[in-house]
Amino acid sequence: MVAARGGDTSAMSALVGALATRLGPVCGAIALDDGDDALQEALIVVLRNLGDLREPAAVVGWARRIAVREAVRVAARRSRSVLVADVGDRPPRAPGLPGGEADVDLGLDVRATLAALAPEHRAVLALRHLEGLSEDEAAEVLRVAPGTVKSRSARAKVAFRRRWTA
Amino acid sequence: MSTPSPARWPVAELDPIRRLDVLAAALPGVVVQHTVLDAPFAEVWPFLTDFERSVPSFDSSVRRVVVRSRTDAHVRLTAWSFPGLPGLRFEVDVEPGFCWMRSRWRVYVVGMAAVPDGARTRVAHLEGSALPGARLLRWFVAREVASDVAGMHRILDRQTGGHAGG
Repeated sequence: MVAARGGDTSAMSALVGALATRLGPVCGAIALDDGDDALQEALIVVLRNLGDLREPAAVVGWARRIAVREAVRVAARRSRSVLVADVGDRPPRAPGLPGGEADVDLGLDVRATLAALAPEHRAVLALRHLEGLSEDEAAEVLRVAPGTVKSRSARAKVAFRRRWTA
Repeated sequence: MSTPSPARWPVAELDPIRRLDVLAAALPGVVVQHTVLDAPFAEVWPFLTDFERSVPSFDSSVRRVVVRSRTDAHVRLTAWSFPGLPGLRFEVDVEPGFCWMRSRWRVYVVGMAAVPDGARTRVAHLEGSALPGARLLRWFVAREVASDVAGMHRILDRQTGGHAGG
């Protein structure tokens, strides 16, 4: 991390590879089919702003904050340009899920359920349930009040529950 | 269950070409060019990373390459360009579909990335300098990169009769 900030291009390349693995889940959960674009754009922002990071040990949290912001932005851009009806019709990409047909169905169901939520709600879910952040920590990343995280999280959980009990 | 297991959530990925694009976006003195070679990945990637053979064949400004040491993930090589000039030493990081070469003092960096595309291969090639002010030489680097990519087509494309095998 220190070497990358100092301009060592090999260290930059290694950092990009490591952060891609670390941030892939959060970008995928928020930006869905545009997750790869969001991850790429987030990592460009990360590399261009490495000099702003005061504490190198905090790189993951700092990069996650950038990734969430970029993923919400990319997802919002997409939702403005695509009709909601098209989202359900779009063929899902191969999710690479473990297990048999039931796992694949469940994986597609997760994607479909996430797609029905606003990007901001997906961000709350990703931070709370994928990243394991507390409400306060998620609120800090998203720059919203803890109460907002709580209400968005509750709404998202209801959406999932409806999907599986329907 | 309120939300599904993290294993079932969509995950974003940064393929080798996107990774090279991230580095290109963060280094103002480099140029990256994309192309699609009419040859399978299984033929393209082993050829491109056979540096002693491949680089002098597609890069008209490189006369000779000697590999000084090699492991699966790291190569040390020296490349000679114009007569009278000393060889330039490179440290090379190699991963499946991705390699990053840097000379001493950030004077020159080279990146190659490849992704299978059916029977063809998407390739990105990057060159340039990571030194401050290197953006002024981008016009020259762009010419070099374009020439290299043309060389790759000449050697690897099936329709032009080129082949890397044998």
